[in-house]
Amino acid sequence: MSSRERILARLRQAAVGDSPRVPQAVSSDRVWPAPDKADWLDALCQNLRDNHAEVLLTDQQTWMADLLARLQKYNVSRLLCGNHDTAARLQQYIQSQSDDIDTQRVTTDIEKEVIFQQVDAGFSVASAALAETGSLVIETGPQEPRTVSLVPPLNIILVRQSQLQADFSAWAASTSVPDPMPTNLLLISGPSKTADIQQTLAYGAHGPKSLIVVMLTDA
Amino acid sequence: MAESMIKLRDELDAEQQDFSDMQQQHFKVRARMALENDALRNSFRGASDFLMAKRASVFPDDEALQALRSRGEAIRQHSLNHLPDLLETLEKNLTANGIRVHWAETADEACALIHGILADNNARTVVKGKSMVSEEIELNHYLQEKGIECLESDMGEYLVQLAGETPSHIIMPAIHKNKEQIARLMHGRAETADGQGVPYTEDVDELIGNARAILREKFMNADAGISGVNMAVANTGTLCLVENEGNGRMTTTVPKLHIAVTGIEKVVEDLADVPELLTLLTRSATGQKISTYFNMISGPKKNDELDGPEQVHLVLVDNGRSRIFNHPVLQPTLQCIRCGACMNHCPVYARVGGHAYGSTYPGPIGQVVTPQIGGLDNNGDMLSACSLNGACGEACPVRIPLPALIRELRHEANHPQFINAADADLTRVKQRGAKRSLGESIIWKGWALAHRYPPLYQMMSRSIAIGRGLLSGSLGNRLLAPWTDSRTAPKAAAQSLHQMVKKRGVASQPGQHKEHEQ
Ligand code: SF4
Repeated sequence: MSSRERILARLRQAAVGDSPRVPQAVSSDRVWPAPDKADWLDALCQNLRDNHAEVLLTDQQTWMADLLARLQKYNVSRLLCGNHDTAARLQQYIQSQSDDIDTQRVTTDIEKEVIFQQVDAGFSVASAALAETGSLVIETGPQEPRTVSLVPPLNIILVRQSQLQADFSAWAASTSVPDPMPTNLLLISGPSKTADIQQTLAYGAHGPKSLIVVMLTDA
Repeated sequence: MAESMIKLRDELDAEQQDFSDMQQQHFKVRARMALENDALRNSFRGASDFLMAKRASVFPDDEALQALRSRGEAIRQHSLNHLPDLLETLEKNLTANGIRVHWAETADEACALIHGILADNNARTVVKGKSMVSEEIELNHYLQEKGIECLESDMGEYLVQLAGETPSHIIMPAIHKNKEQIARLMHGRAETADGQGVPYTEDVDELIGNARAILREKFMNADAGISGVNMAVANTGTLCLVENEGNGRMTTTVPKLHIAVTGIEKVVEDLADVPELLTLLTRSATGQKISTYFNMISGPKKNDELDGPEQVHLVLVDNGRSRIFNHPVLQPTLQCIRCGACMNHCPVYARVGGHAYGSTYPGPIGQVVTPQIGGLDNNGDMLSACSLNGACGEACPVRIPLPALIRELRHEANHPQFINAADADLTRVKQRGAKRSLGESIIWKGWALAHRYPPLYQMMSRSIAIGRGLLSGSLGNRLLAPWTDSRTAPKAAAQSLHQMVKKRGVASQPGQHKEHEQ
């Protein structure tokens, strides 16, 4: 018998209770209060700010100009983007407006030296946002490499107000859940941080030191 | 090298030696040493108060908290009730996703498996994310002997490894060190890739910045990453990791090879089970609504993807868990989601700290897990470090009845019938009966008898009252030594309550004695 078989045999030998599946916690029977729909945007922004993220409330028309101003303030000279249409438009815009920022879209395998040592900022696009915890849902894949939202010191994530959901439970019960799951699905709720030295909070533990959330409002 | 640096390094070496000497001591000695160390007590007191306040602040509504705990408990119990089936489903779905699954019965087998995977891939340098199971199986030590460098990347774990120590808390591994100690440690021992030291600083941002620079270099160049798992979702074949620092993502994303290692109890059935356990975990652990990152891994890099590990492996570790699973009372041990709240709320842990327990898992959950994994003979002493005050059970987000489990283990430890570690009856704890002593059991027998027969009881209390002078004398001291060594000696009153009540003329109620005489 293999270890696998022995372990499973021992587990099957045990007396266990017979409990039904715990029903999923959906809106009406939830025991944990989620914010009302009218408050989703405020809750998301508040939670993100509490977690040291910067929220750029903007819209479809002006977001690229608003973001460019932020990039200039952060002295970004090299920006790395995923491979989606939004990134393509951003790249075009920045190229037309500024000579100081080199914007690249990753289309071939990412070189570790480049992303670790030369890139100042990474631009990602979220597929959803969770109000209750201030979280951005990132589905990685060919368009959205894993390291873009991880390695550069400044992490920028774009999300639309229409993608807001109450919380993780609501998201998990919704049709937003990708099937099959992407190889790496992330909830990001702030810049990387640690409190491992005497409970003192420090940002930029291993990953991004700053997070800018570009929120495209419906209005 | 500057003289001051030589001196600092000598001091750090001496401190490391003190630490390993302390680890060799008996539990009671370690506890006493910890109690006498003021700096250590301040660190733990401060951390416990901080973490308890943080937790309380994110559970403002008690009704909602209790309802959520009940759901957490129900989800974990449901998972355990279907454990073997869920593990098979998990294996099937992980395999379909391209993640290779391995099973290990013992710590040694797990280490050997992991080493085998590393060797197959010629991996010589390894970065590790936080994983208590890897501490449990002593993976670093094993790999070091095989010539593989295994660098801890969680900030706390990194500092603890740099000091040559072990974690003192499952969530905050370096909780026992203060800023000054960490400043000396970093200055004396940390080295950048090109062999440079780091300047002395007590500024937390600078300390973290220095460690960040060193570790990012390591992430970039590591051949493999090893991580733990907080939850494994059977239906989707997904490994979930909870973290704030980003080192977990680095470990599981940047190197070509990712090996995840976890206990077999960490599986849940469905994605729908995850949100509530996650919220319970982060709120109970650090008072956060959610951690900075929740990392869900469902496969290695696909052909059209631009980054991510080429191989992902999961090592499922039993190491005594299937025995725990068979115990009629102790099975809920496996509900644990490793949040650390029980230790933060434990008045004993807050005073003696994590190292006194001498085990990977300290505090209440450590007292429950460790003797079950390692046996009652080797690890049963820590069971005495509990006042059964109940704080841990009230804090536990998945309602594990920790005080009841500690009591059950005390019973097992003192069971009249000894069993050895290899006993095939899985419904008993390893080395049951190992802590039983003849003297103690006679005393308890007598004690029980006296409480059943009133004349005997009165005789006993009277003779204690009469002999109380004797008890506080030197003979009494010697007699009571096993008890009074680590406790204040009880002072017997000159008169028993019975006598005093009688003197005041309160008559005993008719029939009162009869009831007891059966
Ligand atoms: S026993 Fe409960 S409180 Fe303790 S670590 Fe486990 S889940 Fe947390």
